[in-house]
Amino acid sequence: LLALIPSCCSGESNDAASISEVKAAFVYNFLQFTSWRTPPDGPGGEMVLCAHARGALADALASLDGKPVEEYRLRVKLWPESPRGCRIVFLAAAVEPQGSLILYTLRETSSLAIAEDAQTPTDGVSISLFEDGDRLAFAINLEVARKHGLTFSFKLLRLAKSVYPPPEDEP
Amino acid sequence: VKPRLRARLYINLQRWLKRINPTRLGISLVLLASLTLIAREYFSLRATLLADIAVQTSLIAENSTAALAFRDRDATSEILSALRVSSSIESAIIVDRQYTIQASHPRLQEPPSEATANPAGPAATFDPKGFFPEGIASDHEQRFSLTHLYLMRPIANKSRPLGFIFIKARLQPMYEQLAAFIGAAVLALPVFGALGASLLVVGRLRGQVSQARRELYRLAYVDTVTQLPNRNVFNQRLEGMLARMRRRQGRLALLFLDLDNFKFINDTFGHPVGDQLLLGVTRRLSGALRESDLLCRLGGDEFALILEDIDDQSAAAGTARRLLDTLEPPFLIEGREIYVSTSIGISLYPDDGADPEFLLKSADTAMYHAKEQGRNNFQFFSKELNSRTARRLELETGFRRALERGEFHLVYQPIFDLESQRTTGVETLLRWQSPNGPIAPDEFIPVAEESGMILPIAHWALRRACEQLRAWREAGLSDLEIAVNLSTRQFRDPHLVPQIAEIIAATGTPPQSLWLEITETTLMTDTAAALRKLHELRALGIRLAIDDFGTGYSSLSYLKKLPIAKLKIDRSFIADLPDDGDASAITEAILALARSLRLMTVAEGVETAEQMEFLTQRGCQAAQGYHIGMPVSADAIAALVLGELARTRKREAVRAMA
Repeated sequence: LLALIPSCCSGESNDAASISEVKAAFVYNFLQFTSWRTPPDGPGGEMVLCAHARGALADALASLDGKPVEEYRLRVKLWPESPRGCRIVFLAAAVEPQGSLILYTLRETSSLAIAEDAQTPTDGVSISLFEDGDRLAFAINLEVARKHGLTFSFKLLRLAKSVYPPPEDEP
Repeated sequence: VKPRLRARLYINLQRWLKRINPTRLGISLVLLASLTLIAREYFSLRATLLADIAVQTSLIAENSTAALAFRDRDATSEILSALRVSSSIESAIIVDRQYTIQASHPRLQEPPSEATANPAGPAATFDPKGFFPEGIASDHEQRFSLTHLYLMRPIANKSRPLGFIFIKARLQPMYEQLAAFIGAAVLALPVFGALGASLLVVGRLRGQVSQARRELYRLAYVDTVTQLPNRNVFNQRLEGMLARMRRRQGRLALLFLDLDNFKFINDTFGHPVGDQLLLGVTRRLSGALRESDLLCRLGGDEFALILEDIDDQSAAAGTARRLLDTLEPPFLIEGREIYVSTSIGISLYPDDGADPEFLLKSADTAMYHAKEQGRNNFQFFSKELNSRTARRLELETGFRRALERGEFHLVYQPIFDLESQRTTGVETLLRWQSPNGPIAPDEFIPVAEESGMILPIAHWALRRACEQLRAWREAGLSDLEIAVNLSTRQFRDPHLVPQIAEIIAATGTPPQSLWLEITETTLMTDTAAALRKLHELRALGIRLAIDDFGTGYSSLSYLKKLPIAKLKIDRSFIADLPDDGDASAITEAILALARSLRLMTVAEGVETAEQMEFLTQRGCQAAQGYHIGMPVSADAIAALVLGELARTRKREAVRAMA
């Protein structure tokens, strides 16, 4: 498991650091199975991840800086002043109520919002990350993702704990 | 050295080829074919299995990328569990890049579920040496053992490596398939063998059939005696050649050949000699022809020759002359010198016509004309000949009608006894009064002979004559004798004797009053049969006379054997009497001969008193001819004979009174 993210996979000694790194690894994995309708301009461009987190989680997310996502390079910004230019937004559990304002700012943009949240992604959040017993799990809101011009791989969908809205039963 | 080596090699190869048994070779070939098929099937099955497993593996690798990335072992296992439907895949293992087992199928040993919450927990690792003892050189590995297929494929998401999948597949199902195939092949082997054998048999049969077909073709188109094309070929080729000449506006000659005395040779020396003669004639004729000329045997002693592209009729005449010349030297067959000649009739396209049948008929007509001209010559068809042919045809078709409508009648020529100075008999002569006028016997009798119509006509004539004799006898002409001619054709008719017996019985004819006149030439053909027939007629009580005596070549010894009673001296001798020395001598000799053989004599064609005087003085017994009496009706004969009787009686009465 530690080997999942090579840059951070060296032996960790405490659980908090470990779980933060797993969360960061999840975020990075989400990016691997997500496609943007409007990708960043030009090849070799940057994909900005705005991380609203603190502590070990902030460190873990910061360590993703410079990693490749497809042909782009990930740029991690901690607590940016403006959400403008953010293609990915991470909202840790403790950032409310700023989160709602950030999400509102990004409502019309092609961006991916990932929030530490309850089991149901709140409005404006495409992926919610939560602990399910002793495991880390996630849920996906397809409606929000569609509004933001995002498509998730079915492989990601099948791993999600839940997907909203639930698929309609066809007669 | 080299050529010798090659020669030896060649000889060895020949020997080896000779030693090959076709059946054994066939079986070996079938076995070899079967083995090849099995090997092919094995490799094909192997390749199919590999491709199949590789595809399944790739699908799982692709599907498991997210699960592997998120370390979702449940999801990974679930994806792997799809393999349970595969009959071949025995086990499958998904590991991460450190070979930590993420999922396995079947779930033999559930890897410790440390999940995400306990990343430091112990994890089972997979040792690929179990699958690939020789180590792993790349992330695409595959290996066949005797029993299994081992496969390794990478799992990667957008070229980001995540881990590997290892697959172990059993080969048993493949072997079962192969076994089934071999079983089928083994079962099929005898079938193939039988098929092969039957093909051989069929091939041989087909060979025989085609040989038979060739033989039939040969029989149908080639004359067996001379190896010349036969009538069928002639007909076909003539049409083709005529069409060609029509296109080219060319001229073509058709020569019809009939050997002159072949029948005589065949009868005298036998068929083997006849066949050899035909072959010899064929060789000589062929030798005198151009390559393009077509010689066919139409049958019997008839040949047809087609000369294509000739300039004029002189070219055809040249060929005909050459053919006559080439037959001139005698043939030496079985130590005998045999002379044969031919009569040739020639018709020309387009001069004489365009219809193949007509051309052949025309050449045939011309050939008959050549025969009439003394044989051993050639004659061209002509319009005149054509009209003769037409006349002949008219006669031929007229005979039956003439018989039915009573157009035939008999006339009677008196035979005068020179000693008693009385008409003692008559010769019946046939006349044809057709609706278009009388037709001369010299014209229609030969045609009737050739067409065979002479038989019913002569039958009618004989019956009529016998009926007339009875009528005369009833009228008081009790001693009158009647003579009827028998033609050659008639004489050969096997029904002749019973028919005559029937007629004389039905008409109440005293047989001794009936004379049958037969020519020398008729008697000369097939002498043994002729002799037998003459004796049969004689046994009926009928008397026989030789007609036209002196024109044939009867030998004296032969004459002595014949049961004949009368010679009729041919008119050609009588006509030159009495002044011509030769004619007188011959006549006297015949009369002497007849006397020595105790035969009666009648002179034919007596036209003058001097002739009659000469014959009377030399002891000829009877005479007939214009000087004595023309052929007349039955009534006229009755009047004549009754008149003679009356005169005789008057004379006798006078003498008695004196």
